[in-house]
Amino acid sequence: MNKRLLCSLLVLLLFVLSGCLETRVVDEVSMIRAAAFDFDKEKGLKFTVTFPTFPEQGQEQELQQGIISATGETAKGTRISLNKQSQKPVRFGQLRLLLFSQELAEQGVENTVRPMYRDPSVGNRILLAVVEGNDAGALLDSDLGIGELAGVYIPELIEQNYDTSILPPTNMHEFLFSLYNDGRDPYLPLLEQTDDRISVIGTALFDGERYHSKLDLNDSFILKMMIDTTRQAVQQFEVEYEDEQSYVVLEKLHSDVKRNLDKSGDVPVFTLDISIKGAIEDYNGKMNLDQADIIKEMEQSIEEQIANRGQELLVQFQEGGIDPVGMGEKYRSTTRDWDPEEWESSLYASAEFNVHVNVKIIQSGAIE
Amino acid sequence: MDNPIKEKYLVSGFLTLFLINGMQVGMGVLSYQRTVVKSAGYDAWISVLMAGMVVHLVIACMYILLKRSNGDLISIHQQIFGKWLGNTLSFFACLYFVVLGTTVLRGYIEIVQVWMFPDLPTWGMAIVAAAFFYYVVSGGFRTVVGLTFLGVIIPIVLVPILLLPLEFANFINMLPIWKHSIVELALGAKETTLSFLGFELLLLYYPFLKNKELTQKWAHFGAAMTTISYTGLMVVSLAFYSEEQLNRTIWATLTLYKVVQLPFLERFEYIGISLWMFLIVPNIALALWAASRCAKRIFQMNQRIALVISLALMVIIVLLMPTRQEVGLVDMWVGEIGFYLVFVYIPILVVLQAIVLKFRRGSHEQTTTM
Repeated sequence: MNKRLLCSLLVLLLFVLSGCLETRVVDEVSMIRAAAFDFDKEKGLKFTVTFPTFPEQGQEQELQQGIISATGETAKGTRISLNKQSQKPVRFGQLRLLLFSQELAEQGVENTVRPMYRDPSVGNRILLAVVEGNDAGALLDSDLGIGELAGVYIPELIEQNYDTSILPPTNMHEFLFSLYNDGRDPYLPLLEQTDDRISVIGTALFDGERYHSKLDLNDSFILKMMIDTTRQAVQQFEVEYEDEQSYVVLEKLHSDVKRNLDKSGDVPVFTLDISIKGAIEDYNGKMNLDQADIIKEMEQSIEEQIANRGQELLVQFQEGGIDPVGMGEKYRSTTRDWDPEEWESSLYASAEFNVHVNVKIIQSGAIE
Repeated sequence: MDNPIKEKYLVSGFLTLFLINGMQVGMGVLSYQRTVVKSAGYDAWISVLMAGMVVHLVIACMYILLKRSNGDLISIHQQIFGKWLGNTLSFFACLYFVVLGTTVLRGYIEIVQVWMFPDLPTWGMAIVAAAFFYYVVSGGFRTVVGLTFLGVIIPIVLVPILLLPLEFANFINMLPIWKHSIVELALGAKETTLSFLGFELLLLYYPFLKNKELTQKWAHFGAAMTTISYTGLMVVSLAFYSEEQLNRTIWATLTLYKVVQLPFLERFEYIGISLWMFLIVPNIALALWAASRCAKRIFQMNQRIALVISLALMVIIVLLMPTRQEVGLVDMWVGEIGFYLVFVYIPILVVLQAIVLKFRRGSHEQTTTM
């Protein structure tokens, strides 16, 4: 009997004492939705976070968000000073978006991303992005005038653009994957704020952890096609037919890419084979789209454009010493005595690139 | 040699599969990628496969030992080294089992502390665990086996989920295959030892198996299951991480779970860590059972008392390891000791036993002819 009493007491203690641990009740913490790192002249880092605030009953219509920022020397350090200003303890479990100002990105972002990777409560799928200028924090505070909070709006904006394949998609895991990869360099989406509009303006290319240069949206799309398969994209192309400029918009654009490497010559020769399928959605020229040879001509014109621009971009990357497409990775996969130093210093600079594009227009809509 | 175990305490032979597999898969799987990759690079999966093959050889060795002596580790030791030296060696094995269970428990507490409850006191969980394991192990071997069975079946739901990170897979990482030397691969294989350890407990529970001579195929089957799942997980991890990234990730398997996002569940690793408890419970329970059984056989003592002593020892050792550095150090030492115990000592035992048996038979024949 005594034994039984002791047992039940132990079980009771188990339940009662578990309440002694620190709890994280949803409305007793500030759940950070988005955060931004800026460069601070005095201390090095300025960290801005935004979190939704839960209004009292009866005012549920009003969405509100709190925003606080702090400066410090390390990412973790700024997080401590955030708590000094916050009504409720700051928690990062719901973080969706991490922004960097361009100025900070130019000095390197590894020191700010690594603490996020180290913290197990932060997800690996969080989105990273670069903001032009040096005020990423202001982006989180912008009043969008549509009743949507910036902390929700920006991640959805970026995700939406990934889904329609305008930008090459990336998240924290993929960023770190490329950063810690000797045959690849990372890239992030580039955002811009004009008045009260936030928009995606292209891709920020990195050289290791440092911001290197940017690509506009058209080039981002070509980069995306050179890196990965594309599904459900829409893109406008310029076509020339019998000395007449016109524009054609392809939708349901699917693309596939094959990377080939020829090492038999003096220098490595990379060949990208991109095959694209799409349907015409809009066309402002005078041609009859029902004629097979016109479609053929159109296809050729688009092929040439993409191939030329792709090749230009690859040379541009090569001259800048960056490798967002992962050419080094391809080279490494066929080399037994892979030497990252040699690749970086001489092989990559001497490599040659060919881009072959094959466009197939499947249909041209319901009208002639 | 010894009194046979009563029929009602025996378990079916096919349960060997669960005993081997359940005891092998535990804390090691959560973090083995990093250490292997450090020496074998992106050929790490070959190392894992190699280690798995060696495990099969050792299992075959253990069956030779056990069939010849028809007893357990203690009777084998006594047969080869005589009573005193044999029992001393068995006592060291007993301590090893306690420490093996302890590293698993400490490792799990550490993960819960890092990933879920940062201010969970180590002693709190250690004491709750000790009470639980006293309850389980004092139920006898059959209870422990039942728990082991569940500990293999329930976590199976975690396996398909490990395929979801393949969304980010980049298999080109692994090419070209076999660019490391055989020595580097072997070193990598040695690093996986801690995650493969546990099957040596067969030396103690062998007398508890029904039709024990016929259980060898189940043992091999269980070990093969472990090898296949470890290799598969290694391939997934290698495709998912880049080399430097993997070197920086301590619990690569948990971080794999971290990208899993289901429509109704944003972060899977919390479920994963909780379910992992089912995987580690048989590890600790079997190790404690083995330690107490060992003590009972050596000192002819009550197994419950032996169990209490082992548990006390376990809690004390857990409390002596407050930081990551100590946990890492003890893990390394257990891996090292386990490696020599299993992959060096057991084959040596086979040879010694053969010599002793030959010598005895020789002298036996002499006595009969005289």
